[in-house]
Amino acid sequence: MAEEPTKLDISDEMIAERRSGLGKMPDDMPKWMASLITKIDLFSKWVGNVVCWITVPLILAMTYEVLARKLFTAPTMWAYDMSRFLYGALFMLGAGYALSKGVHIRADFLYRNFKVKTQGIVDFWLYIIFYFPGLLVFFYMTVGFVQESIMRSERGMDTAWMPYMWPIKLCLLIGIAFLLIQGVSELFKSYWAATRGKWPGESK
Amino acid sequence: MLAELIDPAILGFILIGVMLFAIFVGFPISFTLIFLGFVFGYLGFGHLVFYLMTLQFSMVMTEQTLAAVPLFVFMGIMMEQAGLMERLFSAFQLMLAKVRGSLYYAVLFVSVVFAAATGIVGASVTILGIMAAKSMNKSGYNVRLAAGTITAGGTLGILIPPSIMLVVMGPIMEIPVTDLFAAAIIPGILLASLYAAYVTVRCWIDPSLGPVLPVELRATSMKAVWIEFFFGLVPPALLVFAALGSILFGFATPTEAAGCGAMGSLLLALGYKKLTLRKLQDALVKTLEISALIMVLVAASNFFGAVFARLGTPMLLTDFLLSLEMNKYIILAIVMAMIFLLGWPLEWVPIVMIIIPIILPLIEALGFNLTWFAILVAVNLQTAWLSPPVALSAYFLKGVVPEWDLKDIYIGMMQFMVIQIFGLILIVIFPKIALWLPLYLYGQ
Amino acid sequence: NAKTLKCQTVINAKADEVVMLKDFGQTVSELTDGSIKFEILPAGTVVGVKETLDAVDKGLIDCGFAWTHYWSGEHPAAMLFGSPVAGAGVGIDNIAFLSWFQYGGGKELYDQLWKEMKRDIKGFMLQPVGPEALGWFKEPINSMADFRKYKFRTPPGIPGQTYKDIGVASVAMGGGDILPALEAGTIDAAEWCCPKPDSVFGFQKVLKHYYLQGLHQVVVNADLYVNGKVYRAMSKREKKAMEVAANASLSKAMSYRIYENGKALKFLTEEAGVILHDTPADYFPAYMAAAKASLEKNAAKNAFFKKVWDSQKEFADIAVPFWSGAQMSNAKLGMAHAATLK
Ligand code: NA
Ligand code: NA
Repeated sequence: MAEEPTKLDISDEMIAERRSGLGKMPDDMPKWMASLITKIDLFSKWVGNVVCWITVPLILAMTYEVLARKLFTAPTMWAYDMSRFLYGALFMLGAGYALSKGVHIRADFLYRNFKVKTQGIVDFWLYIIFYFPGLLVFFYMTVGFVQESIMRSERGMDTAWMPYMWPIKLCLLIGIAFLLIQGVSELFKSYWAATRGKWPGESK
Repeated sequence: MLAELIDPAILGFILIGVMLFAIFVGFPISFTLIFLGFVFGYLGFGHLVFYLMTLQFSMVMTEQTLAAVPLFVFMGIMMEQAGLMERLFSAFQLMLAKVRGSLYYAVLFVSVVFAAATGIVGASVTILGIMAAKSMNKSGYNVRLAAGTITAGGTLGILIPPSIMLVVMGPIMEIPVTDLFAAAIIPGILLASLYAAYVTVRCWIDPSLGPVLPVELRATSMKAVWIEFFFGLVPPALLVFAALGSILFGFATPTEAAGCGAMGSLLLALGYKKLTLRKLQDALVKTLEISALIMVLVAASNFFGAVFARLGTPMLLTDFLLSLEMNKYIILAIVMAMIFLLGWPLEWVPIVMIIIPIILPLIEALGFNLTWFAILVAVNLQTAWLSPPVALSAYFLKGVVPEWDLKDIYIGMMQFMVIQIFGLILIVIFPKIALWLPLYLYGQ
Repeated sequence: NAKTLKCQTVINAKADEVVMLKDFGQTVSELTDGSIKFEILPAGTVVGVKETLDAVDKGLIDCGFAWTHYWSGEHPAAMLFGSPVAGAGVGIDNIAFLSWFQYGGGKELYDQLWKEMKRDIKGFMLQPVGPEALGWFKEPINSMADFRKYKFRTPPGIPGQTYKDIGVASVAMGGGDILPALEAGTIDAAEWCCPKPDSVFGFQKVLKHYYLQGLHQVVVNADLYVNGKVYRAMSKREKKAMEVAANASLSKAMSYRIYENGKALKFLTEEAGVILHDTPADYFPAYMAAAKASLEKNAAKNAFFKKVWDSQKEFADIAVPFWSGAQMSNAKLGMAHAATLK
């Protein structure tokens, strides 16, 4: 209960519904399902471990810009655009990884008291009704959006640098794709929870 | 299409109702908002809503000021990893060991400093959550009061300059942003003082809310306290002041300052020999998780708000208000109440963008000072971050302090929402709270 | 069957551009006996500012309002309509631009611009809003060498690139960041628009040295974009009403802004302690040469850009000698009067 705070080590455990994931799948789970979930989770983890490094050039770009401008009166053409593109790519490409870790926030004061079976049923059906239709439409519309940007050779118009816009828009598309891929794993996990009353791969 | 049977604006009211119900089922809020936005948008204005989603996400992805979010998050995590924040809090606790609720004061103090360094709420709340929650839990603090202090303190970031909200409001209201910045400083400090006063009174009545340090954990000598103080307080304070200072003294814009702050925290961790490749990777992964959580939610609620606006519901509401003829302070109260109510389901962005321009002629006609009005709106919109269920700061906090029940966070922040309203009334009665400083600095 | 067109702008609801846009909408509404009405939505209401054109194209909003060069990211030639740098390099000012637009083949090329962008849009040129000032400085500048000492917030796109080309430390910055950045000293100088919008922005509180004469946006035009389907569904009379109201708006907007900017400049110099300076003489040849080089580079890269620019040059060869000659006496006459006021 909330009134009796548990021991907390933030460096280990930071996110609400964070799942340890990547645990061993139950023995009675069909092999194809277990292997699908494991492979997708591994893939997302790999993506997250790569994408998170985007923060480093973001820090460097901002620091470089400040130093170059302040010390040498030599502001860059690119720092402004690079910073927003790096940031945009960071969170969108990482959205699927975040889903695999269960960090997308829920209003869960009812949900967390549900039986695992009920949680599984809620998740399973809402993945089917809310999640996939919404994101598939989103994905489809974004395909056209990116195509148009490439076709028009569209450039940013906020700076004198005027970079091409399609790379950042492509990141949006890829980010949705990652979300959809991870969604498949989550769907099967919630199916398992709904039918067996236990989240697969979790120790709790 | 349904739009032929029902006025789309009315559909918007139904949308709010359905949303409130749907998110409590417990599915991730971002995806719930996306789905409901699609459905109601489709009913209201057809397939066009599908374009809206992509355009809104694309907008949030390329908003440069928001690049400060991952940077400030990383800075907070890095400082946490270096163990500095724990030291800061323990230093505060040691210094004020016999003072009830010393960590509340520490949170509020750090909140004000952070608010002066960033214009964003999400980063402040998450950093404060990361920094303070661990110490508060260890010391047996009351979860609700702790959560309320952190979320309320964090929302000061959007009021105390630099503030993105004020920067957006200035041009819309045709008030120089510098005036708004100057006008927001004293109200910001006033609110922080009110929070502190509230915490003091609560702890005085019920000492168990913020216990003093157990005797065995107190410092054995004053020397130890001073060492702890020096190593705990000085480096992070220097770093935060460097981030703030680089804005104030002309080195950087807020986003750049965030970048420099992140670099500073990295160097600090290096200096303290707390930086390994593995720890850096950990910090980066956590930065990614929190940034994704915050920004996907911001983008989704932007989309949701845009659907709401496209349905025309806010305009309907405002038109109705304008048609009433009443005493100007009653109208002001109604306007404030409306902004407050809209702050429940919406973020400040759609409110500022839609309501203010429409309401402005009315406010001018009533002869109110616009700078004063702007500050009232700003303080009012701060409550939008504290009003459940779409209270982003609650989710940000929940994101970093998982074992705190969302219900407790809600109850905690709503207490501070009441203080917020009290502060708002003070500024209405004493306009000088907002207007004295800009007058002093810039003259008429 | 009355239609209300949802029209989103890229600026706030109180800007002068919006005042004139509402005036245009009112005219259309009256000319059509109310069969067309406009609902003007401020920036960001339905989509973000940068997504406005996209949203009009798709029909998410019925029309949008910005400046043509706002879309130079979609096609470089948009700049030649919205803010031809340094008067298109051939001395075209705002009035000469209108002459080119209405009688020199500009309008036809403007219609073609949206096709080049592959957008289903009908555009209406509505408001000349220039000429824009060089900008605001911390200290007076007496030469290009002085100018190069300062970090200067420039407009985006080619006008900004041109500053880079002549060695000015040009900084990109969103509108909201400018004033805090100036106060903090992140940048030392900045341009925004013209006396009225600049004074609303509040530059006079931070910087006191103001330079009106500048070349980066001598001509600036704001325009309206109507979704193609929406436009084609209009009756013949409604289309005519749009055209007539647009033409009226071109003249009214220019008239309105001369007076508004005049009042603002009077306030700035007489009440806000702003000192007005002449721009250093070596700025003009340097900027013009760089602008021309940049225009040539773009013309070499893009056929439609070349086509538009050629048309402007052809027009300028005929009209600019007359117009600038006549303007010379106008300017002298006016400056003589201004001198008596000091
Ligand atoms: Na702030
Ligand atoms: Na809220």
